[in-house]
Amino acid sequence: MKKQGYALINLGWYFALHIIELIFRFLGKKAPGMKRFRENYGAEGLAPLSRANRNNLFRLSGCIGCGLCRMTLNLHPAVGASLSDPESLSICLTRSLPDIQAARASLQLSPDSLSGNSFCPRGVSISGVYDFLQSADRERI
Amino acid sequence: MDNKFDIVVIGSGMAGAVAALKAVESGKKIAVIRRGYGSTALSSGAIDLAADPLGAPGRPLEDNRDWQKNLKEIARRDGFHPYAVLAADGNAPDLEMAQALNFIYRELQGVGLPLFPVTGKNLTLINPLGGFKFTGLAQESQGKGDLEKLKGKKTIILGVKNLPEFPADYIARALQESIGPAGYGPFSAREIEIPGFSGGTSFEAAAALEADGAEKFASALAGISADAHLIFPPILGALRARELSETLQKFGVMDFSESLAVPTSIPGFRLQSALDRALEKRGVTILNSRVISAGNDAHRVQSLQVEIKGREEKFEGQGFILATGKYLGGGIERGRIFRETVFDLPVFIGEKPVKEDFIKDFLTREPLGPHPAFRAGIRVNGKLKPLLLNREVFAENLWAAGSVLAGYDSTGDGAGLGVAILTGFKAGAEAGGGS
Repeated sequence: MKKQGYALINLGWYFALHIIELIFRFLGKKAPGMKRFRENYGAEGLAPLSRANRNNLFRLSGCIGCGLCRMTLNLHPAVGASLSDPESLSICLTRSLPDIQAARASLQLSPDSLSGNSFCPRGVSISGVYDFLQSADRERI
Repeated sequence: MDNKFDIVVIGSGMAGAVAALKAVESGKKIAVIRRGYGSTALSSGAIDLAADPLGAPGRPLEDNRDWQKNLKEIARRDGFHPYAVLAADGNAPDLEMAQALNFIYRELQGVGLPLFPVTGKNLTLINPLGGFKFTGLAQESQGKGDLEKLKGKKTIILGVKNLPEFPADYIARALQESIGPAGYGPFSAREIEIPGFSGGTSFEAAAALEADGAEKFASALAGISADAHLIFPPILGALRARELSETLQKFGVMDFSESLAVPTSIPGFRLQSALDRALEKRGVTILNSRVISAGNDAHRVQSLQVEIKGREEKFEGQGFILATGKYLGGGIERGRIFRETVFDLPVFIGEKPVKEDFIKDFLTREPLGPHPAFRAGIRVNGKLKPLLLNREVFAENLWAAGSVLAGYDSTGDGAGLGVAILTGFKAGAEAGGGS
């Protein structure tokens, strides 16, 4: 009973704080988090990562850079010699500022060229990488 | 699609492909299901059969021994090695290996990938790191560079402009210093240019040669040296290797070879592509799909659930061959636990069944040391049927081959593709009816 009372007081206190925060936000016209993120990082080309994107990144990290995807799907001409594996492409696109332009080049790939079978030894879906790059690019301001 | 087959092979690296090709001889309907390429496509081009178990890295070249003797020695010394498991069941793995080699030699020859004729002694081939390794068999374009055959012969290591992964100067110097005094070489280096290749990896260099650079390249080589053996980086064609060799010969470049490769490996890709062509030629159905689970009843595998374009489909078979590889191929996983990924078979390292064990307990301090973790795999009997913890056979109609097997390190033991060929050959024969 004592614990329940304590929990209810806590709940009420934080609810009151939330109401006060809403009032201050309304008065101060403070932008919500995503908008502020875009204002701060959009100019540099950094896109926010959704939970689905984070899961994708985890899967893409299986890449061991063996180069078989380039051999089987002929990826290289569009992306340049130094950024050729799916992992570095996807990671640099989202977080590594100097490589963003290079990674963007991969979006020039024709989706048709990726629609064939993936031969990746680690099961990384190359078309999945492409979809991920596209969705991240759409997020960018 | 009709999803009923006589034999379903899971995995299409060397072990799976050899198993499927051998099983075809029984006249049965065969399918290969694979998630993608495995470590065969990344191999250096060397087909290691059996390294000397008594040998040590860096020992003198003169210690190179007959691979069949090595194989018997491995079977005698290392009870968990697949060669030993086969020998303990009354097989003669050295003789069966000779049959298996003859078989794969014919199959690859038939699809345009000649192998260098196998002799008793291991070949001694150079690698892009300035060293050399012993290997039982190699693609013809690489086997011609056997250092034993080139003893005393002027050898030129050819670097390619803008291809940093093959430092010809360094390789020639390292070989001259390490084995030159023993009468090998002399080794020297030259740099050549491939028309249309402005930089990148061996893949881009090979692509430029295959596109339209071959003739100009060959004509530039013709004047280099008539009395020397030329060793190229491993770039002589991913899919059109034979045509490239012919072009070189047309321009009078007769005495040449390719070095072994490191990933991105053109010879590995060439080998895997040739295996694919051999499977297609023999009418084997290849499905690029992921096996999700297996349906078993008491002592028999009935079916596989396979993911095809986001949907699950059931594949039925009379016999199944597991050739999914180890960590790279995806046959064995070590995420949270050690796990065999298709049938959830028990995984062993040596004698010990492993599951939730700490990975560090199976790694040594030296990066290139013999890590027991790389010997993880499933245990089989002498007929290559997977065993449960109580040593009973898991299923009467399931066989296993290649690096999913416990007891050997497919990348570090000097027997990687040899075990794959022998166990694939045997599994294919057993599944096909013991022919």
